[in-house]
Amino acid sequence: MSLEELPSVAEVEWQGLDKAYLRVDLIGLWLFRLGVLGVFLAYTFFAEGFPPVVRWSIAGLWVFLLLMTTVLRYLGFRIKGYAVRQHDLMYRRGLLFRSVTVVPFTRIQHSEVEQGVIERQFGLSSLSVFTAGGSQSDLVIPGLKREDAERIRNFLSQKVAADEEE
Amino acid sequence: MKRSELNFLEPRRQAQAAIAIFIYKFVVRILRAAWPILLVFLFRSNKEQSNTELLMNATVVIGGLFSLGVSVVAYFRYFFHLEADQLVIQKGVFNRSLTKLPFERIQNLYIEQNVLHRLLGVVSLRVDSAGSSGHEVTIDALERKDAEAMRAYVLEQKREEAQERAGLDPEAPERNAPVAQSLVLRLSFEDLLRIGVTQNHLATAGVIVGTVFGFLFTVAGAFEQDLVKTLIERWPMLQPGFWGFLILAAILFVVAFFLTLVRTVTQHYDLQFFESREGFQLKAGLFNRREASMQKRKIQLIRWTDNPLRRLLGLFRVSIHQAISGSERAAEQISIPGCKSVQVDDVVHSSFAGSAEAAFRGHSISKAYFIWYIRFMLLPAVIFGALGYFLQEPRFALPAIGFPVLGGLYLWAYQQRFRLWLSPEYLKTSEGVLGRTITLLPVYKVQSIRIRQSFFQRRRDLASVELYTAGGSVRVPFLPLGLARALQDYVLYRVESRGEDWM
Repeated sequence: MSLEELPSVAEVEWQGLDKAYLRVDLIGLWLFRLGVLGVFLAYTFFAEGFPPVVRWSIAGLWVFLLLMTTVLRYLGFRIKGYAVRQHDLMYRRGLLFRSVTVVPFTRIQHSEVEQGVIERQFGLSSLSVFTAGGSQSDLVIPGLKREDAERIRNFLSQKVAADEEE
Repeated sequence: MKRSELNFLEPRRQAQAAIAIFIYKFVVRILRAAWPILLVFLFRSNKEQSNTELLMNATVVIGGLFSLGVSVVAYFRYFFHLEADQLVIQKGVFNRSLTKLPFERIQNLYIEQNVLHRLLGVVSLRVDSAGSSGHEVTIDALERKDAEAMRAYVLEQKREEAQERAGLDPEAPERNAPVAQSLVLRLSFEDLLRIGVTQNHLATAGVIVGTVFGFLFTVAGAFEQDLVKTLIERWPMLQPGFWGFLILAAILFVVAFFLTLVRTVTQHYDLQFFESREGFQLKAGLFNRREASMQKRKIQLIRWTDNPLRRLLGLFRVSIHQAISGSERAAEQISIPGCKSVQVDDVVHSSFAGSAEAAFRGHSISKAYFIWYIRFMLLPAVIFGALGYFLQEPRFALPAIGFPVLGGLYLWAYQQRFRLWLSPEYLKTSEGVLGRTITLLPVYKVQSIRIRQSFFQRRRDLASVELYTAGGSVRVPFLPLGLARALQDYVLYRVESRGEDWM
């Protein structure tokens, strides 16, 4: 078999994440950033002698960055996607800094389906895939419909069990 | 080892020395958590104590005695034994817990001895199960012969299991032959001194500065006053100045030098490195004697490093990485500070079959690496330049020019010297400017691979590749995209097409 005949990661059909995930992602982002802003404003109002100019310019910068991040997340959403291939699981993300991660089924230790508070409101789940050793090579695919996440998880655990049988 | 010879098939307690070790652990924990309070306690004892203070002190003392009692009870409620295919531990004072660790989950067993263990003539046995950090098990005190028997028994069971899975006859005659071990390397006291001199003393200096400042802050916090200020007021000669700074730096360096020397010698004292057909074993340490063993088939990657001083002596630091729980925990990897080039080759070739004959093809990384990273060196240059201009301070020109020049030289040398070597079965990288770090791993050990592309790299059809194994990772920056993808495709093909036991 020559190198050219290998199945190539360059010709993968990517499955996009569920559209509702964009909202989940942005709600989480805004809740957190505005929460931090609120604490900051509350603190500077009560701390004596904090110049208002500094307070409002920091707050303004914070909101500007939040808007920028929102735009990046919005544009980056269509990049995010996963692919279940014959022997491995792939995940792609990143608008400016793109990354494609591949974990072969034979190297998966176990997998979990998780659901955050905001995700639950939209019926979404995340699929976490764990490998041995450190956590660097673990993979998390967010924004899956609950049923899809369960289905992939079951498929993975069958694959992992089948590999151990061999 | 026959089953009947084992005396830990029934639930049993640890050696009695465990009580002393439990108490010792407890005292250390208290001292670590509360030493500033104790300091204040000692130095303020002449003062009248208010009722609240008295109450607080009483609470502390009673709490202490209570925990001490708990430590002792903990010993009597700690049982462990081996079943046919698992290690079982029952423990807990208030909440009983039952831990069952199947042998197949156990990665390795480590026999360790700190000073107290040596005084009491016992060892501790740490059981590592990869993948689940925080769930590992330590038996604090055991007779050495028990610990060794236990380790041998568990490893033997694991091997039989593995052979049964591989379809081999577990009673094959060669298995019963005694395991022949040969001494590969032993470091004498002079060797250790030489190695100690070539260590990274700057790192130690950094740690010292950090510790001293941390200490001062904690003490100052406890006494509620600025200790440094008080010291300087009392002894004006401590006032910082150019000469004072220079002398301080000199003292710091000398102290750092001797500390690393002492640390190197005590840590690796009488280091012995053995090889058998199945694996490696390492024994080292003056106060805390450490024994690590590793099966060859579990080795994920081997890394060896030199630095300019070490190169003069022809020595490398070699670390052998296996699958570990949690993140990169150095203690569980075998690391040999002073290995000659020939010995490195021996270790590598006997760990990875066929690596001696592997036909490697070398690849360089793109010059764009330099172009991308030099921008980050230009930023401080611009800042210092602007500051110097506005403050009319010509001395700022030094960092403004120094940063990009030195940084640029470093980047250029790094890009020029980086090599990725590929053969059908092995992947090797070689990197570094002043020293050189070489990493070698069998392709089939990879458990996840990532291709990264920044917008800068996408415009130029370049990509960085990260390969992760259960024992560590390798990063190759700025490869041509075609090569990066071909590498990814090939590694995946190699991992997925054969079901080897990789861990």
